Amino acid sequence: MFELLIQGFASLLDPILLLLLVGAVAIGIVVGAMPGISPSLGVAIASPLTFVFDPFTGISCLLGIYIGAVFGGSIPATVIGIPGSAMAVTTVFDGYPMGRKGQAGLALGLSTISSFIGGVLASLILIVLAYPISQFALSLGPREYCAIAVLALMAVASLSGGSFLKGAIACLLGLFLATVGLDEINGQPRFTMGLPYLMGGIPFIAVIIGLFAIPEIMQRFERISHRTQPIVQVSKVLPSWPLLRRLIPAQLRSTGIGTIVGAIPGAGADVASLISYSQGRNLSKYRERFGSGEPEGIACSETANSASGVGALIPLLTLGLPGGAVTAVIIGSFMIHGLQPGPLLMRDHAPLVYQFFATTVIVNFIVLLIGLPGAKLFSRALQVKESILLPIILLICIIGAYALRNNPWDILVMLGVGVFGYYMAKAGIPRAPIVIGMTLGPIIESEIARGLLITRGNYLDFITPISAVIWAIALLPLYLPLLRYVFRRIRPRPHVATSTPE
Amino acid sequence: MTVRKSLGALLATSLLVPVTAFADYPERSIELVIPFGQGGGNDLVGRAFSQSLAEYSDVDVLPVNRTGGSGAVGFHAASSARPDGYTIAMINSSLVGNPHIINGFPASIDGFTPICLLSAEPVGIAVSASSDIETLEDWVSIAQEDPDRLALGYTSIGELIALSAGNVTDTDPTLIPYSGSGDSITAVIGGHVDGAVVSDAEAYSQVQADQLRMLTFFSDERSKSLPDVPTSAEEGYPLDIGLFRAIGAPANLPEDVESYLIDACTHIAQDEAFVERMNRIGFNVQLRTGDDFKAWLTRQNEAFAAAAGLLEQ
Repeated sequence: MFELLIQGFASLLDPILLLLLVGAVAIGIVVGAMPGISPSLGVAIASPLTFVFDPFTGISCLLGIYIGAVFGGSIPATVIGIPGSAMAVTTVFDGYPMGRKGQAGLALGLSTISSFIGGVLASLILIVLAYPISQFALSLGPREYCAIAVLALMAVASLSGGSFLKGAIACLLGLFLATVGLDEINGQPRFTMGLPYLMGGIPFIAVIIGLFAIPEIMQRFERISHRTQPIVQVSKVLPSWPLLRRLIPAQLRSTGIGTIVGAIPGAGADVASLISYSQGRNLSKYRERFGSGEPEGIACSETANSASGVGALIPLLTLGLPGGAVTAVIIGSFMIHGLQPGPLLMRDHAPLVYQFFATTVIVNFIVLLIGLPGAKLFSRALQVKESILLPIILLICIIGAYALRNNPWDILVMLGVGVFGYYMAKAGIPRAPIVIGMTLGPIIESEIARGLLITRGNYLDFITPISAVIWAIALLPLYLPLLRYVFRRIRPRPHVATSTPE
Repeated sequence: MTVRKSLGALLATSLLVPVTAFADYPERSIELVIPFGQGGGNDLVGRAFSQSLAEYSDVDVLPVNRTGGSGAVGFHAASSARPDGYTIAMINSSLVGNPHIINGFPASIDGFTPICLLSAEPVGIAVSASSDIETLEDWVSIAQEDPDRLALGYTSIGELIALSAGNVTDTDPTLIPYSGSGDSITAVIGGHVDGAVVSDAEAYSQVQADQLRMLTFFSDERSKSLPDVPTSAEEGYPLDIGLFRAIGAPANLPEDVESYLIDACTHIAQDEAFVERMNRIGFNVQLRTGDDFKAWLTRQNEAFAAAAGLLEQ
């Protein structure tokens, strides 16, 4: 195995190949940074261009684009407060406030380093533990997927800002929006009002772009003036060692969460970053600073989504099964290159698989290499005059809303949702829970239905040992106060008892 | 006056343009609507076809994924596009099956001029390679013994195929819907369902890797890629219903454009590069054009309509 791995790394020492990979990662970062251009779209467009190469070079380039794109989403999230995709929503929460405080460079530096750590560690896990993890992921079914989605739903509490009630209202709205279209179980239209357009559902990416970008642009237009705006300082990019050391536990935890969730066929990087962020906040010493520019929040979010991106390759490379939307596209590319993805790939083409393992490691180093110098460059976007910057952002948003489904109506939805989001922002209603509801609603609904079909309608069988553990973690905030109360009643602490006058 | 004049001019040109365009079709880029997402079978076939059509016609052919609603969005957009040959679409069994099972599905085969069949895939039941169920006969006897015992996964219009299969074999397994064939195959290998309704192309690599076992295909002829698997007819349960990938254009297509596209298909289907590319992604090229294809489509539609009749019972 080590021999194969060393051969894999050795095959990457080709300077032309390395140059190609640097180009691929750079393209991926741009793809990821464009809101609405999803990693799967980027890989699908690039896929035919790789046919001129041999299978190894071609697929390695696609892996570079893919991993670059997963990282790229953090750039607009931090610089302009618009998540490039659902997996970067949690990055907006702390990255953007840091940017507003003049620390955009540091925020981008942190997300680069966190993405790197998550990506590299997950790649090492992929190399060492791919087979057992894929077997574990395969043993999970609808009942566990449902529990995982509920665990991610708990992030609503973390992403609500001040008022949990307002957050819950927004989340319910998101859950409702996700029901529009054909239902996942019976395929029947719901709330479509007979319109073919609505049969396709409310376009998720257009809603994200509208909710985050348009209110921000409108609010900045309100404040815009022709006087010279104060030059935003571009902070240093590299975090100090004490700060980095403080983030290591969060990064390790997030790598674990991300790799496992990414390997599970029913959940992706968006679910991973939500779970990692909310668990990270619950465990952090600085939990009250989450949401107002806490570096640990960026670390949780970015480490988890990068680890998850690599984790999704585990079922792909070991079993030939897709771990998510992007890996489905990569499987297609494998086939076009004449490789049958599946367990046979490891048996018949082991050196090739180890070359891909090595590629994921190298590509993450390239992310670091491009990301750190890039951080300074990207954060300079904040110094561009707003009268020039804002129209450009608006244009990018319109392209992004259109690009995903090639449907002009999606642009109108994006703008309409944006105006709605503007008033939500004015009313102090958080917008992220809408995205959470729309992401998780379809998963929870269809997995409950599927799980109950499998148990033939028996609710008791719906809880399996693994799902019971996940449910217990997910619902912890509900019963923790009760447990604390009971615990105190049973064992009253002596010094507390004596100090009270009772 | 000027407004009326310019309107008149606009009307005249809009009437004129298609007429002149037909004479030397194609003279600008053609859009190929793919009503399904990137990476799936329709996308892979559509992209392979668009590349070959671009080489044949010497104009750009742009594959455009217009997704959503089990094809509702893309099929609707393509069938309501102007029938001038500059918008064509991937059509498949969902276009034939969905109108029978989805209320208000906004498109049907009537909205299209069928151009050519590219590939037809037999569909059957796959079980895990570690399963005790070795043959279709095993499956039928277990299902008849205890109707609650077996769970069968399916995707989209696989529901109609599963129902037809249940009808001819007199079984009624619990049907579990999945959103993609990759998901249902994962569920079979993971042991969450007993079997799944999948095509030979979808099952191929996992059968080769000894993870899946195909019990049967519901087809008159054996699968070309998995020729060892018996058809259900051989086991005494005749049924011919499956998936297909084809090219269509909006209805009322001018005849010269239709014959141009049919010639293009005939040429492409014999092109070695296209055939090889289709084989790599798991599809066997099977060409049908013109009246032959239209008659074949009518038979497919009847089979799906009959299956939908079972749904209502």
